[in-house]
Amino acid sequence: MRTVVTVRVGVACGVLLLAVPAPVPAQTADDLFDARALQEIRVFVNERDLHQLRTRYTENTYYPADIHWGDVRVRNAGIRSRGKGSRNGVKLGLHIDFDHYVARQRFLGLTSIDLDNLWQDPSMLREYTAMALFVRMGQPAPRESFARVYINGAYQGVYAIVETVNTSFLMRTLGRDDGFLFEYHWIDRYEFTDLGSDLAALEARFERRTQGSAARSAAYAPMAEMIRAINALPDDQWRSGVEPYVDLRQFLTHVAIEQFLSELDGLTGYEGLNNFYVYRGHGSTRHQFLPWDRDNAFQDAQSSVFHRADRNVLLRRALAFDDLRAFYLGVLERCATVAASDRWLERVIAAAAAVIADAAGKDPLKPYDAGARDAAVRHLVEFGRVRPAVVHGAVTDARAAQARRRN
Amino acid sequence: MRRLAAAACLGAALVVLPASAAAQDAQDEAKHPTLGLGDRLQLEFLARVQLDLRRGEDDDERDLDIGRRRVGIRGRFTRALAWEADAEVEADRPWRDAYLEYRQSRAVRIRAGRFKLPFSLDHTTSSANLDFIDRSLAATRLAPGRDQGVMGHGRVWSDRLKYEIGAFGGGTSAARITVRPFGTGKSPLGPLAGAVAVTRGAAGERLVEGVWVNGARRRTGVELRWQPGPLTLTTEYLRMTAERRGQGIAGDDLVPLVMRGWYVSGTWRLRPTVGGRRARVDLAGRLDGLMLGEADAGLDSSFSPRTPIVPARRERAVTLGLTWYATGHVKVQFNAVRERAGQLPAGQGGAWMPMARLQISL
Repeated sequence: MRTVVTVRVGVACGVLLLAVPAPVPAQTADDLFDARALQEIRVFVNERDLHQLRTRYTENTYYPADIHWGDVRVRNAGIRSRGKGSRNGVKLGLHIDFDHYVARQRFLGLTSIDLDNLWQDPSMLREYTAMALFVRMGQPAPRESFARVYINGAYQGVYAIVETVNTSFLMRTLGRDDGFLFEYHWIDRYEFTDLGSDLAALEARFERRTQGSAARSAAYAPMAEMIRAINALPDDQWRSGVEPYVDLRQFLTHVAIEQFLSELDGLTGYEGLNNFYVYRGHGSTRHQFLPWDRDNAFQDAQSSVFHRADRNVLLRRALAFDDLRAFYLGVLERCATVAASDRWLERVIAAAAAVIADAAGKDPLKPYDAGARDAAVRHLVEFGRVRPAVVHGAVTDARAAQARRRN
Repeated sequence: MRRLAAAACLGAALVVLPASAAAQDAQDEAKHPTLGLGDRLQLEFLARVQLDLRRGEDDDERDLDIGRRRVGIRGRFTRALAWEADAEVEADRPWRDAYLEYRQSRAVRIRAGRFKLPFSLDHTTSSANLDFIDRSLAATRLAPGRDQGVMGHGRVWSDRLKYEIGAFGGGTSAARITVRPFGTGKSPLGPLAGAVAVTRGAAGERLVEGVWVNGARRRTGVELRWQPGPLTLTTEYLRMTAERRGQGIAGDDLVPLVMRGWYVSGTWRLRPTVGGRRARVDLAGRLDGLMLGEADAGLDSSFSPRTPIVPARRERAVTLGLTWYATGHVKVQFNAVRERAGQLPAGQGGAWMPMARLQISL
C-alpha cells in the first residue's frame, strides 16, 4: 500500500515538474544588439500622433508609444523623428526615449535607442559594418543590429537598431559617465580652426548631452583652451600644450579607422567635421572622440589614407610629428590586417547581408530598388576584398616617404 | 531697466494717489463717464489699465506687465434693452464680453452674445473687483471661460433665488442656481448665499493639463459666501471630468481625466481714517488647492499625454493680500503667494512670491 502511494506521489511530482514551464533566460541588451539574428520591433502609436509625426517629421516633438520586442513590452516610451539627411516622413527614423514620460523607465537597461531608417544607404550595411570595425579595433562605438520594424502592425522595412551615445553607453564602454559628453552638430564647414574666446560659437557646435546644469564655462572653457592650443602654439610647444587637452593617439586611431573605411563625412569630412561625439571625464581636461553615423563610409576602396588630412588643423599638426605619423600608419596597417585576416571584413558584410536579405527585399518604404541594393552590397563586398591591400600599399609607401624625409 | 520702470510707476502712483483722494471719498464706487438722453438712453464708457509687478522667470528678475488695457461701453435703452461690449487693447483676440440683453422683468432676462458661462463665483467676478491679484487655482484651471450663447436669468422669491441657464457654442449647456435662504435681512445669517452650478458640453481633441482629452466635459461647482459686517468668507469646490475617447495609444478610450479644485478665502474690510478721511483697506487671505488625476503612482508616474491612468498631482497655494482703494478709480493691491506643486515632499513648499498691481479705472 505504501509503495502504491509512493509511486502515485512520484508520478504526480513528475507531472507537476513537466507542467512548470522551463525558465526563460532573461533577455538583455546584448540579445537586442545580436546582429546574427534579425530582430523585430513593434511600435504602437496613436494614429493621430503618427499622422503628426509623418507630416511634421522635421520637428523633434515627442509622442507616446508602446514598444514591443519579443516578450518585452515598454509602455509610454517617447518617440520622435530623428536623422539629418535621412530624416523623412515616409520611412521614419525614430529616436526612442524610454524614460521620456516615465521617470527611470528602462528597456533592457537602456534609456534610449535609435531606429536608423537606412534611408541613404542602399546596401543598408555601411553603418553596422563601420561600427563593427571600430569595435574590432578596440574603440568605443555604439552597438548595432538589424530589425524588422512595424508601426501599428504595418511593416516599415529594415532598420538598424543603434545604441544611443549617452551615460549608459559611457558606462559600458569607458566605465564612467560623470564627465561632459558633447554631440557635434554641423552648422558650417569647421575644421578645428580657432573660434576666439566666445563660448557661444562652441556651444552652437558641441551640444552638451550630460551635465546640463553645470556652468557654461565649466563645460566649454577646457574645449576652448584645447582649440586655442591646437591653433596658437608653435611646433616646439605644441605636443606639451595640446596633449593635456586631447588624447592624440586616440584621436589618430579614430581618424585612421575612418580613413581605412573611406569615410566621406567624419573628422575629415567633405564639409568639415561631422558625425562624432566628444567626451571629457570628470576633473579632466582631456577630450576623447566617439564615432556616430557612418552612412557615408566605404566610398572608394582606392581612396588616399591621407584624404583631406591637411584641412583638419588638429590632424595636420599631429601628423607633422614623426612618432604620431608612425602611430597613425600603424593603426591603418592594423585595420588592414584585421580586415584581411580570414577575410574578416568580407565575412562581416556577407553575414549581415544574409541576415537582412529577405526583410530588405520586402522593405516597402526604402527609396531604392532591389537592383540598386544588390549593386551597393556588391560594392561593399568588393571594398572589403580590395581595401586591405590598398591600405597596406599606401602605408608602405608612406613609411618609405617618411624614411626618405628623415634621411 | 524694466525693474526700475516698474518701481517708478508704482512709486509715482503711491505719491500721487493721496492727492487725488482728496477730490473724492475713497469709499466711492467707480463712476464711469456717462452719456444720457433723458431716461430712455444711457451710455457708460469704461476704461481700465492694470500694471502688474511680479517676479519673472529668473529669480533675480522682476517683470512689469502692462498687459491689461481694456475699453468698453455699456448702456441701456429704456428699461427693456441693455448691452455691454468690452475689448482688450492690442490683444490677439480683443473681444471679451459683447452681448445684448432683453429685460422683461427682474425675474426674466435674456442675454445673447459672448460672455462668461455662469460657473464659479471667482471666475465670474470681474478681475477689477477681485480680492486678490490672481484668481484661485480652481477657477483658473477648471472654469470654462467665455463663449457665444444665449442665457436666461433672473431673480425670484424676493431676490432670494437667482437662476442662470444657458446654451453655448459647441453644444455646451450651463446652469447655476444661487440662493440666499435668509433673504437680505439684518440677521447674522442674512448675508449668506450658496450656489450650485453645472456645465455639460463636448470638446474635440485637445491637451488639458498635458493630457489629451476628447468627448464630453462635465463641470460641477458648489459655492458659499457669508458676509457678516466687515468680514467676507467665501469657499468653492469645483470638479471637472473630461472624457478621453480614442486617446489611447491603440486608439482606445481611456479613463476620463478628473480635476478637482477648492479654495477658502476671507476678507476683512478696514476703514481707517487717514488725513481726516475714511480710507478703505481690505486684508485678505486664501488657501486653495487643485487635484489632478486618480492614481497615486508615486515618482514613477507616467507623464505621457496618453497615459492610461492619470497619476495624481496636487497643487496648493496660500495667498495673503492687502487692497487699498485709494479712490473710486484707483486700486492698489499687494499679494504674497506661496505655492507648492507636484510631488514635493510635505513641508517643502516654494518661496513666498510677492506681487503688486496698480489698477486705474475710468
